Amino acid sequence: MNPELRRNLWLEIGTQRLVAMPVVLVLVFALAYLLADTVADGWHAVAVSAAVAYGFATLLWGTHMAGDAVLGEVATRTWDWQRMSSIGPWTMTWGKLFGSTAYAWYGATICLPIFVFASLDDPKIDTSWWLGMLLAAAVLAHAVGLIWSLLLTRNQGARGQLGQRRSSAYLLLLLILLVVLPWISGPFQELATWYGRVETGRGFALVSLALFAGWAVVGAYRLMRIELQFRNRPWVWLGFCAFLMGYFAGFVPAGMRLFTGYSIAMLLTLVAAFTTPRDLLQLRRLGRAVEGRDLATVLQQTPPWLSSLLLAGLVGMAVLVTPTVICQGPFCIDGFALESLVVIAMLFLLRDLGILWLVSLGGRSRRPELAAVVYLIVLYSILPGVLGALGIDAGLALLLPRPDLAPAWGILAAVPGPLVVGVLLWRQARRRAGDPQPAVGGREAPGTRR
Amino acid sequence: MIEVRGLTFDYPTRRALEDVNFSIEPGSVTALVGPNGAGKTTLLRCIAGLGQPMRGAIEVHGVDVLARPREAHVHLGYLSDFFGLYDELSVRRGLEYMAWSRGAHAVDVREVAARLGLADYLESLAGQLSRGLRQRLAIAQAIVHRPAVLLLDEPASGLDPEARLQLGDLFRELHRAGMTLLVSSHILAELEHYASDILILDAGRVIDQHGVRTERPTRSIELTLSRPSPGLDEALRRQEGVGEVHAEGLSARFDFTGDAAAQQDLLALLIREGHPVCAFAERRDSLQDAYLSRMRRPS
Repeated sequence: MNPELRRNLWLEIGTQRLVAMPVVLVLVFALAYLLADTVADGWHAVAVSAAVAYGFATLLWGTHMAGDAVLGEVATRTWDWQRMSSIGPWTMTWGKLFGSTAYAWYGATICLPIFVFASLDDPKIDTSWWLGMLLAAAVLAHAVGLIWSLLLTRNQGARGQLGQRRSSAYLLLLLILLVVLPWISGPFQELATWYGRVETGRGFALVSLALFAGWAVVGAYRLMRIELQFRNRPWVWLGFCAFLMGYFAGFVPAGMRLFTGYSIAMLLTLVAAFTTPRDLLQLRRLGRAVEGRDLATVLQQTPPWLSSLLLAGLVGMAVLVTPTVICQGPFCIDGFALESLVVIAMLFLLRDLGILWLVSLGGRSRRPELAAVVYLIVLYSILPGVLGALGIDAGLALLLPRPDLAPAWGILAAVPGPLVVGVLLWRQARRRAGDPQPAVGGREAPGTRR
Repeated sequence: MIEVRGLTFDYPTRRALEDVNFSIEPGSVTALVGPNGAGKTTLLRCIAGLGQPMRGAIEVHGVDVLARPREAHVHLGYLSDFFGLYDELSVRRGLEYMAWSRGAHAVDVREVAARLGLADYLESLAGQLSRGLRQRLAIAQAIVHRPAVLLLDEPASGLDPEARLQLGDLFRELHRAGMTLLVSSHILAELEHYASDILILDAGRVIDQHGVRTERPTRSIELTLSRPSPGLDEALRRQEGVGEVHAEGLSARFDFTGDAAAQQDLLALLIREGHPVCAFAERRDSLQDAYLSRMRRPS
């Protein structure tokens, strides 16, 4: 048996808890049944309450536990024991994914059979579809929780600020629910048009959710590999980028697909930059590997944000050289030059990445990601608002992408931002260039002066 | 057993280890010493496969730690200076988990617990143990899979004198069982009881490595007089095998190349000449003396 799963079962499944869960659930189901007017309504109420109880157990409690799976180990200083084990990354991933959430799944194993039994003859409930959705949603939520836990653990700053950052897992949980709930109750229940084919919304939603859940598990596994000192090459991350680009491109008209893919690649670049550590040492290793033409190390040391930035650059060039780019339907803005937007968007992306790195390298902010977000909010909304209120419209193009201007002017106006940030970043990097200072031991290292 | 070559480790703003090279023989107990911030913990974590160095190679029991860390962990036990335990697991379950997670399914955890004096606490929760017992449990967890190499970072910190004594006994027992130990500690007097080698780290570099009990051709002899004896310096310098003499007050110290019989003859001569010798013995440098002497010497 997976040792990590067994350890979690020891911790999560005690006699008292084993008894408490079914007792509470049976009482909830009995109450739902008794409050209904008719027998049919009673079984419907039981089915709904079973689905809701399942949601509480898995989506809320389970995600919280998965989000705590690694952070909790770091906080109690037991993570090194696990990193020193010989458990492989996949075994560790599924051991934590299903082990830390074992009690939630225990509740699920009671709720789901009750749900199926109570809804089988219910014309208002598509039992098999709901069953699939509930299972996929739980796996997705737990895997994202584990990813969150691993990302925070990886972030060097998180090691000293665990108490403060752990609470932000709840914000992520809220985000997950916001993403998952529309699938369950939103427009996908009707029809979905994807790459011109009309699909049943329900089937499409189920397959989509299952695919995202699968990718989330893969993501958790890949991050676990890094924690366990394995080195990842960028292919899987690039595969995920390609999947998302292809997936979302299917919802837009044919002429906009490449540009949609470009936008997704840029968005993923930002997401990766904000969620993974800005590791100067990794860039230094990457630089040395490039100098030494060591391709294997180059691939291992390339951070995900850089991979997706390069991908975005390639797709952006494809957008520029593809003559079929057209403007269609609701995606069209009058006077909108898609080609200039591609360049302008890239320049703004470079500026934003530069700001994030600048704040991170500055070392003055305990939460550089948050500080960078504040700066970006100021640059994208507050400052333009102030300039607009003062009637200085000419300055707006420096702060906001303006594809509505003549292409040359729009691009020219977007250049100063990344240029200024680039110069500041260059100066910052020069201050920290070369090999770091020697260790601060009890006395000077031979031949050095502190 | 442990081979470290050209190891350089950087933190974002400073270099913790600089071109560290050393090898540790199988079955040895090496004291890893150095001032605060010298890089001892970083070095141990690198050997344990928990840190990614900028450059260099580390081999433990023939396994490349940087390329195959999980495989190396089968041969390694590591106790961090700030370790945690699964407080809600019993001692038995904690040990079983650690053994299984290192692929050692056939280990009898009762035997390991007995070895560490934890036999009576097998069903106790780790969170209910005293600090000394927690330390023992942590060591038991680190050795439960019978690793060839055990790395310990400040294992005695926070322990009372009796617990420290027991810890020393345990390390001697592990040494006798053939385990290779690398122990970082500031308490050199304790290390002296079980260390066979010393590795001195300063400002991220290895500045010395040698055997603690290496037989040297020259021994240091210290004698004490019961009352002042003006001609003692002269008398000593005349004798064959006596090196530089340092006399101060009623005591004198000198290097001597002769064997035990020559030492006996020298003592007899001094007494015959009327020098009031009340103590005459070889002076063995303590680990602390060796360390301080090396640290005072320019690199």
